[in-house]
Amino acid sequence: MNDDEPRWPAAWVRASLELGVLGALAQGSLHGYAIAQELAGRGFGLLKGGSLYPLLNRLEETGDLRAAWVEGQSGPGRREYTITEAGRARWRRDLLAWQQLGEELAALGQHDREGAQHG
Amino acid sequence: MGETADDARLIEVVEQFAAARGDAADERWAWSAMWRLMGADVAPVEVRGVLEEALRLTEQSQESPQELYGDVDAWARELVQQWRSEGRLVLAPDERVGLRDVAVDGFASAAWLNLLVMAVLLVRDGGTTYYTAGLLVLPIGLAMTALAILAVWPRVLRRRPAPVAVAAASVVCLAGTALMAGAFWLGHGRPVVSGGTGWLCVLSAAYALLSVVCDRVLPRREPIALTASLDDEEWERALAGVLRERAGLPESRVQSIVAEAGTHAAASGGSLEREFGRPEAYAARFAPDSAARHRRAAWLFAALAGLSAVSAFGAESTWSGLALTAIFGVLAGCEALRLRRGRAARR
Repeated sequence: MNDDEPRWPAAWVRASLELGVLGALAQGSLHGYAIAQELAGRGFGLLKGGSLYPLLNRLEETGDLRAAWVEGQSGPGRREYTITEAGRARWRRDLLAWQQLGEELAALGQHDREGAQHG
Repeated sequence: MGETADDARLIEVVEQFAAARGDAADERWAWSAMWRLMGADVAPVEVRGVLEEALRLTEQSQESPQELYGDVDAWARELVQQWRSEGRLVLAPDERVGLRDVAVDGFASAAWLNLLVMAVLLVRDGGTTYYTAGLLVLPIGLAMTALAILAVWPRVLRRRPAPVAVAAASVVCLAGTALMAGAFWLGHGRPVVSGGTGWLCVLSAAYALLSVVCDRVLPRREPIALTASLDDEEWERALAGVLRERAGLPESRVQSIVAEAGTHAAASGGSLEREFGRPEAYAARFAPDSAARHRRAAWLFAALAGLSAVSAFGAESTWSGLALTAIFGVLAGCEALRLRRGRAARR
């Protein structure tokens, strides 16, 4: 499947984008376009800069990320993003909450309500 | 024209809230919601859409909007945040005050200010007064200087960093003040003529007439087209301008946002417009720096208070100059208070 196309509905991608960005940076620092490519490889579709950078900016303002301009070997420099300790703690906490949400959603369809009430 | 029709339809929707359950408190909620959303640069047509939905829900459920949506402040804040992240807000460049407006509104404001001066003189001198050069120049000088500052500020800010815009506005302010101070200085103790105070009505009528003539004669500005396609250079310039002027971001952040967009577009191989959309919509995705706005306004009012205090000593009616100083001082204080509240809320 083409990485440019998202695997999930746009609303899901929007809702989980912060967590996706924090996760992409959990393994090491990346610049904006590399984050977009990392997320595209995970089924988010190739994000437009118009969606990505305002989010990176917000995460920087909340102290979850820090950013610095890094000189490029050829061509212009790039702004590289690094996850902070606070960002890493938030990523773990939010990831756990999403996993619990997924489990609850799965359990909703599997439980026999009548049986659960009587048994 | 379109904007006026949108505004009128929006007000109609707000007023319908009173009849939804027969409770005037619902209309008050709708007014609060409208002002909060408009204050966050949401277009009237979007505000109307969301209020129409709230009105329908209020009518159907017969519950108050407060019960349905909770605290109006929190609801509006959350909605704006959601729309900002979805790219539904647009920060259109502010070109309401052009050179044409300086002439039309300047003469109209001078007419009103002249009547104000006449009222003051009637109380102070009665039916006869001494007309000095300063007295005659003050209303038109104040009106034209204020309008010229309002025209110069956004124009320069769109193209240059904030300190340059402050310098340009200061030059206009100082030029206007020097003109008025010069007129007061030259005319001090040398009245042009002594006559009936009511003659100022004639001067007001002349200013009003000039305003009408300028309105008819001067060409109207074309509305800013947001549909034309921009090349990368134009896009970067437009984005920097809107971020400075409408979002009030500091220059370092403006430059960083613009440069980062450029490096991303270069990596993706697409144009900036294709990758980021219109600069006005992209700029709206960044939360405005309201602290910078209040700080600038506080400094502006403080400077005007200072100028009024200085000019009060040159004028013959010192108390009116001191009254202006007090008004600008209070406005500066209000802005400083808002700045402090904003900082406290962020902590």
